[in-house]
Amino acid sequence: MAQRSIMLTDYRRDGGLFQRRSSWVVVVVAVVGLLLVPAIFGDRYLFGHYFSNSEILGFGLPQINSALIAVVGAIALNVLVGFTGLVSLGHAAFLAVGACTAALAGTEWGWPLIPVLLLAGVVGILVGVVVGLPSLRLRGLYLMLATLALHFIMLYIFLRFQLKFFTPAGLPFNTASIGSFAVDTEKKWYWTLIVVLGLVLLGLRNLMKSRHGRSFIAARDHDIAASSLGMNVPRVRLASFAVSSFIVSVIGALYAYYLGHLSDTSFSLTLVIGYFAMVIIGGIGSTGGAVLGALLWTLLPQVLTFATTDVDPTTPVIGNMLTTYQGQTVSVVMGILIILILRFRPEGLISYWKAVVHACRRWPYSP
Amino acid sequence: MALMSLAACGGGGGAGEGSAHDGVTDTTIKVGTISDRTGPTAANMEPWLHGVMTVVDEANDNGGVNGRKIDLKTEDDKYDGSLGLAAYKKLVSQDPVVAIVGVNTGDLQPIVAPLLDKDKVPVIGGQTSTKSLLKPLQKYFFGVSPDYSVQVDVMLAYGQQQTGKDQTRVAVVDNGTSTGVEVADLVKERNGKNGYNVVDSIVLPPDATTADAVVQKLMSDHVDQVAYHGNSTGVNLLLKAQQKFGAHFPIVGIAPSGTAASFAGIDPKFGKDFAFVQAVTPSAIKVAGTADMVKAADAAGYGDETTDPAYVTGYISGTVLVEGLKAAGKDLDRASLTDALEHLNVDTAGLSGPLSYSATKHAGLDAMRPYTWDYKSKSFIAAGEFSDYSDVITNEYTK
Amino acid sequence: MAEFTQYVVSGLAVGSIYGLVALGFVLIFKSTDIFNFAQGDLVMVGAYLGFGAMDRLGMPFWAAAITALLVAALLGLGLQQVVFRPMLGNSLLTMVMITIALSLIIRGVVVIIFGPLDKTYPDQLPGGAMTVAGVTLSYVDLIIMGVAAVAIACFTVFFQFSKTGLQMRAIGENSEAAAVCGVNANRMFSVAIMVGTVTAAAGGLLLANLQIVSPQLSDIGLIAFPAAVLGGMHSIPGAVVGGLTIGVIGQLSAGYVDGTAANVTIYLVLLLVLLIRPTGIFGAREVVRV
Repeated sequence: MAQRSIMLTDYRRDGGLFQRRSSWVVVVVAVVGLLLVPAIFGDRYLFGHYFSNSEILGFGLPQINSALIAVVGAIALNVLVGFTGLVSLGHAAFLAVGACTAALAGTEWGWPLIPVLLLAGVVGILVGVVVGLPSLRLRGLYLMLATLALHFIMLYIFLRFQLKFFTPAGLPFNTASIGSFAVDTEKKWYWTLIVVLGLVLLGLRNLMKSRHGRSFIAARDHDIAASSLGMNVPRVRLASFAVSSFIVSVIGALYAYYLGHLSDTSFSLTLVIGYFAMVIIGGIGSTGGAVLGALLWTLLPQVLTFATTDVDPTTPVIGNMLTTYQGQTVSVVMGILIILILRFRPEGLISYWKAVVHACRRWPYSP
Repeated sequence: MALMSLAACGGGGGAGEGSAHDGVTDTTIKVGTISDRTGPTAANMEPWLHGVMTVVDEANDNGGVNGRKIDLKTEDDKYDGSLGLAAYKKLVSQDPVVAIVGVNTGDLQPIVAPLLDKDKVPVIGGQTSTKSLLKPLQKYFFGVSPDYSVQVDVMLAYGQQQTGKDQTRVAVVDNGTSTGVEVADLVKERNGKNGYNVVDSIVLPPDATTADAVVQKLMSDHVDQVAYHGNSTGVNLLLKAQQKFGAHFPIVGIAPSGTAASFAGIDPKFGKDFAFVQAVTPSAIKVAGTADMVKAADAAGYGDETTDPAYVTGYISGTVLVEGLKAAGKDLDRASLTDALEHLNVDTAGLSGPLSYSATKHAGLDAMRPYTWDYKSKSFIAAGEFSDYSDVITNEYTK
Repeated sequence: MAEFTQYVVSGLAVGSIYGLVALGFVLIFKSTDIFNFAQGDLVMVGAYLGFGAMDRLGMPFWAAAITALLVAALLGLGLQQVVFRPMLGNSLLTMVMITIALSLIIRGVVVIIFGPLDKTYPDQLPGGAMTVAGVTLSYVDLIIMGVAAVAIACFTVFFQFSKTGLQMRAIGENSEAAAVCGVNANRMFSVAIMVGTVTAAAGGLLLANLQIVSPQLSDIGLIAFPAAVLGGMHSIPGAVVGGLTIGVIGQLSAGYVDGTAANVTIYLVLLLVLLIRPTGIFGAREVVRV
């Protein structure tokens, strides 16, 4: 059934959550999927069938939870890099800020989870604005380098903070608890993270539909034209940093609680580059792309590792490589994959999804 | 609603093929390892893993343990705590194993420490034993390598011995990471004891290209001995800088700093200034157990790694595992293995000092001795016996 | 005062390698607009190639060095044809991501071929040092500075005075206009990347004499960025000056403050330069059409 294009006649409909009737189908499928995940990957039991390790590709809820944390982080980075066009390598710095706040407020002062997260977010905004100041003078490559410098400076400050208030071993974190609900099993973490993800997605969608969100995109694409129309471009850039770092600090605090213990080595440049990879592979400027990219980046190495674990060492050429150097081979494959994706689909993975949706909607007129 | 209840009512026995319980079936025993295989410390950790694999292969070749073959599941944590945690969770509940060997990444140990009591899975140590798993006594952790406090005690004692003085000016050079700070703090704590006067705490970052500034500081502060924390790259830089300036500060380094590469490219007159402490005996020094170890290593394909102390440490970790499995008997699960390990006394045939566990002692090896390098024979030489240095060790973490 | 001079001289020795690495980096950037995150990994490859030639083929150091440089040139050519050429014209982020992916691949392949253990060069440059006016320089330091200076001089001559060099500069200024004048852009890009790879490999060979050969050698790439920015991202002599300056600043802060401070100071300098004069010491102000 070929669907005609949507005709929106007022802003209210445009801002509404669902613009098509068919969107409800998507929602139902998504909810069912979310419910199935802990069953399949957590309990490994569904409708009387026990899933063996091989059937679910060696995945478990811990990997899924780590992937969810990465998804939120990638979405937040996309706000900065994708929507506002500000190339910032300060991601790890904001995660660290969230973790620090959680350590102080949660462990030292004993606050419960939600106030800790909110405080982390607020501190994140403050730091984000400071980190964002160079963006007022610098663009593109130079901004990237400036934030790279800030990354190392922030790590140094983090190490000093860690040594002053805690032990050289790192920052310890209590169990996260909301009132009497203690988040201490994988399943509880899964649902907590899903809720957080849902809130972030909802909030971001509303933001991008509003004039504030549109101002981000204007600052990215035509900043001179936008300022000539009266938009305060520096303020918009700082606002983008604020929004992005709020989310990242909150997820950084959650990440800290999830791990239970963090030290300065947890916030390496490799981590930042990983988040960049997620956003770019998924598709810059698309929240869905960030989700896809994050899932691919965190889960694909697991799949590859799992698939190559039981390879017979006597297989010619790759046999020895896969048994002795499995980790390196997986990295190489990931690298090649990235290059291929960027070569043939520079717009990212989301373009595949969009192409599919497009074809579905246009059927039977799809090319 | 119906879906939720369906999802909730599952999960009794969990995953696992057949009738596995804790990773043990009638024919196989699953054991997991977590170590850095592709990250920055892989150069030290891979030989360790090979040592473990050697012992496991040898046991399997001889019919297994109590009729079961050991299936080793290796996990790579890439020196990253979060990956290590995911690996730990996988080994505990998704693909259950009866024991974990390793948890070598220093950052991973404090993360895993609070979980062990809940999961009740025995962990046999590897190259690293940090305070988090030792103090207070962790029932499920069975360390192998000595912790940093033991290392520092022996490092300082031997360094002072080399100077021939009773009162020495001590400098600690560390790589600035959290374990580096831990070692520096341990050294500073010993200020004023045994004639140690700690005058300097210098950082040599892991990515430094030259140690000139460090040696200049050592010279201007008239230091007598240096305690070193870091890897072989750093100590090699330090030795090259000492050679350049003609300085001869005795440097004693932590166990991981001692590899053949640390001494390479240095004039032997300056290379002799460096020693490192170790709790194991590499194969260049023949003791009772060396022949068996070399034979097993050759069979497993790691014959040229037996001169690496990291490999020997792994060999001992593997030995602890196999001996523990044997002692646990036919009725093998995590609880019985933990129990067996707690009463274990391992005879390493001279490859290390005495190794035994008890209800109050889970730290493993606590005897160390310094090693230096003989440029002519291109191998390590030991400075004395393990027992020679036992009286300087204060066992700060495990008292 | 002697202490200060010593720090400066040590810094210059280390800085010549930084300059060499930064030079390759800036060359690639100036000619092709590619921000090569994998420059450090190319340095590491150079060191490993030298090791491979000496260890597996039994060559003495100088022969191994030349072999390594030749192989590096071929590698650069290969990279240009297979990876970079189809990707030219893409946005900054995409290109950065490609080089990051390349970095992953290179590190993995190097360990697969050579194993994860640390390596050292079997054949060493002469040890020993000389002291002049209270300042000590090891022979290795002198050789490194000498080789780096010669490499940079050759390079400058090539760039300034040869026809190919002129063509490369033309492409760097305005590729379309140069193409109209008959300059083969693709060939120039290939040459740029080959030379960039060779300078990186040369840096790696020199570095391997100062340090142990391990995958961690690629960390030096991170220092190339501040050096390049300091000197001006579009200026080749600037890259060299930037590298030397960074080396000196690093040593001075390691000496007077703290080892960890050395890194942070370099990045603070980078930040200040970016905020105050982003085009660097030698760079020209960029004029952008709105």
